[in-house]
Amino acid sequence: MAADQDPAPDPFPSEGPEGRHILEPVRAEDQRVGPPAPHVVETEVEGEVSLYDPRREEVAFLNETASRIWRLADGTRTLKELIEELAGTYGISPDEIRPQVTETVRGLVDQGLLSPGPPKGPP
Amino acid sequence: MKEVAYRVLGTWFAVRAPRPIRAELDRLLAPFRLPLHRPAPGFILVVRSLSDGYALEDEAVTLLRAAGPDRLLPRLVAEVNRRAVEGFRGFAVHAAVVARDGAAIALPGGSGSGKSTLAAACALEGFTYVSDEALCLDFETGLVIPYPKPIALGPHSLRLLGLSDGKPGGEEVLVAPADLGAEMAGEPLPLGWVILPRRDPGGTRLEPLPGQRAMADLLRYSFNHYRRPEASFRLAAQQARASRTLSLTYQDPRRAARLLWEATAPEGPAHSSSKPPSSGSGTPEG
Repeated sequence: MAADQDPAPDPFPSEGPEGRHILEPVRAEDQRVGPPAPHVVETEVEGEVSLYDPRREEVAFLNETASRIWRLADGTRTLKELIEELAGTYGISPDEIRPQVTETVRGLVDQGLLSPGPPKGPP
Repeated sequence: MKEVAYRVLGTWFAVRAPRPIRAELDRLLAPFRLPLHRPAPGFILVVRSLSDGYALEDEAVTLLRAAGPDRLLPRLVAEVNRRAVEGFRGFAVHAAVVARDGAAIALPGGSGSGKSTLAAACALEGFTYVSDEALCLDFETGLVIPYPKPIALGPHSLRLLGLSDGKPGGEEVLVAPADLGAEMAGEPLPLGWVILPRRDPGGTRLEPLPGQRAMADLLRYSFNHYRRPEASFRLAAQQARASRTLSLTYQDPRRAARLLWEATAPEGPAHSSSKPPSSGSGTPEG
């Protein structure tokens, strides 16, 4: 009977194998973003960042905006602060840039390129 | 049968063949001929005369049979090419490569994308010939290792280049760069340009592209990045930073080569600043 069956596994789990909230940094704007995963190799060509992940043997090419996000995602800023800083750089409101930044950060975390950061709090 | 020895991209090999085959092979592989026979080549290919043609053998295993020299030689050179590129210790990318004023110009592309035709067109235009097959980069020095193999051209390419004898049909032929009046690069040289070609009937034009596109295509069309992935990643980035990146849209390879010649002239538009031209340059396809 359906009620007795185990639920299907969540294809997008919010917790890693050790119970860590792996997507939390991109869901809550008061959480830090980054830093880059230590194993990722980074290089830059004309201001655009390229990343090589030796564990997945994959290369990611970031455009100019994603490259700016990458540089700001050093683990010292919350997602909210990152959005505000980037909006200031481009001279637009945070609301205009929030969906793109959030999506980019989510993608970088999902690919294991950015480490999930802890919530911002007292040291 | 006598033996002749060659070294291609660091791979040493010998060919035993009847005299007419040896003579033609020597002409086609002249840049790779070793002055003295070396006793321990990496492999020995043997061409045997049969009643109905030739057989190409490696350690008594028949690799292929061909009715005549015209059929045999392209396949023999293709076999040598395959082994040489496979054995190359550097970073190799599918690309046509030519040079001018001491700087290499790479045009990456997959099989069947027109690399050989573009390389031949550039050779006819006056560029120094480097390869119609592979951009070969040394990991240590970052320099381009010349690989001036004979250019393999099919009947359609020969027609496009104005080299066809007018007869319909025909097989792929090997053209020695010297037959096109081209000089061949002999020494390693720096990569100066990465040109990303795209066939389109709209016209012939060159347009600037971000350097990251060059890096992406160098990795995309690499033969062997999987062997040293991180080093390949770093080398591709280094080459993209050091080169100018342009897209080349074309239909007629001779027009494309002419435009490339104008753009890469010391006083040309793409040379006049430290950056690629800010707007595209080109000519309408006639």
